Amino acid sequence: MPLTVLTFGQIADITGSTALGTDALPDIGALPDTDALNAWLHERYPRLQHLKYMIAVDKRSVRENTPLSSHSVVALLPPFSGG
Amino acid sequence: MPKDRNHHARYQRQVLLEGWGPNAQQKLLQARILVIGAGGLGCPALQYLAAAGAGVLGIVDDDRVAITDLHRQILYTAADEGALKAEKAAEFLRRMNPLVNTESYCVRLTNANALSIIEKYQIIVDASDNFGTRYLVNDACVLLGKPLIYGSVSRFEGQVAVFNLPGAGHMAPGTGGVASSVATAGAASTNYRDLFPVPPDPGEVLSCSEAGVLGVVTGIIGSMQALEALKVATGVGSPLINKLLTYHALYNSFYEVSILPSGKISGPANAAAFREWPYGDGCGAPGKWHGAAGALAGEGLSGAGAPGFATVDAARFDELRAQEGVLVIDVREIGESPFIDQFEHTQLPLSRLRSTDPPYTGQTIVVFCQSGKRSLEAAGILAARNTVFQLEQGIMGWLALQS
Repeated sequence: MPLTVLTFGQIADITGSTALGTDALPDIGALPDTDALNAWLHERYPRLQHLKYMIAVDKRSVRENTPLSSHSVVALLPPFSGG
Repeated sequence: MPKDRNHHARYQRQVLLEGWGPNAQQKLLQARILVIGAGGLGCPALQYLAAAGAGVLGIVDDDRVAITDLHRQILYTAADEGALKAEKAAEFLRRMNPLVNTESYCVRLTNANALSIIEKYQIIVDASDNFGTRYLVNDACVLLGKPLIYGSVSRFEGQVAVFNLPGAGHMAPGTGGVASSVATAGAASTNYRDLFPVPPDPGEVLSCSEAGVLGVVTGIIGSMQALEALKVATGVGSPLINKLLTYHALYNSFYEVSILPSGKISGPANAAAFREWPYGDGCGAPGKWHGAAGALAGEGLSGAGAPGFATVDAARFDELRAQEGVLVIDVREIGESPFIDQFEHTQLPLSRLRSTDPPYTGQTIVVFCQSGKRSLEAAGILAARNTVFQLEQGIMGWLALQS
């Protein structure tokens, strides 16, 4: 599977889809790591700049800049408050 | 003995289960489980925990039943409108299973009462509906070393996780249980702040009353919380330790993410700091908590999610300074004396703070000025986007104590 970004909660509203694939993302060369991905997302979807979300790469949460491969699956998970 | 026969028959179908048996049932009968919030998540969680035979169920909720709750809060009927949820829920559960003991707390959980309530229970279920309570419950459970079953929903989606238990992998049926799990603490465990270190800004995330929620979704997530609580109580199966499970009802999809322990404390470091921590949503202790606008909040004022800030004395100021990741800011004008070189800090004069967009977001900040007056205003400004403390009596008060 090529690089994929899965979105959850209101992040999916902002990106317009629950999954961004190769057609929606720039070439992997432009997205070598999660910092680059975040910068691209913030430019493409400015509303994301004001949201806190957790990033997971290949189903593991990441806290620091993490390299991405052409097969990485990135998930953007916002907090939910409801109950 | 009618009670024993009753007992045997009531739980017979689950005691029959391979891997459950009388041992797991006995552990559950001895378990004290606290459910915080008797709403969309709390109702199904309480219902299944009571039906399964949890020994004691504590119920915390200061809210009353409203008609708009009934589509998802399935312990209540139309006749209960206006009644206290914690009382009505307990009545329902006792009718359903007279063998279960209930303890109702019809109060808002705040940093003044949370530790004394939570410490009486072995397993805590966060079924609340606001970030102030979620961070409050998380931090209390971290300080007390209590396993926390987290669940939350937004529209058609939900999240579930188990915090504060070491990642022990699979537990053999009937061999674990809460007592032995806690005894192995020391291996890395995770908590809510490892996922989301600080609360979102007010208005950043919509609540159920703003965004809507489907009752079945809270039913599924609340039932999963009950299941995780049963696993932790009995030692049967593998709870979602160090894992966040998400569910999307419209696509029937589950997605599980491993949570990396940060090893950092981004909440209060001890009970005294906890009691002064500026939680939003009316969870800060009255008298210690200031609304984001800087006004002292009275009892019962919800603050509408505004995080507010807390005023701390010199001793707490020193504790906060020593904490990793806490930003210390001098809001006096540049060049004011006395010059402070006793500890590391940043200078951001109040005059500049008033005239520009506050440069920080999502940080834990402690501000000081000369006498504690300007820091009040600065804290009010910064609190809109950060967790903020201000030093009472300023640096002069602090200096007077250093000798």
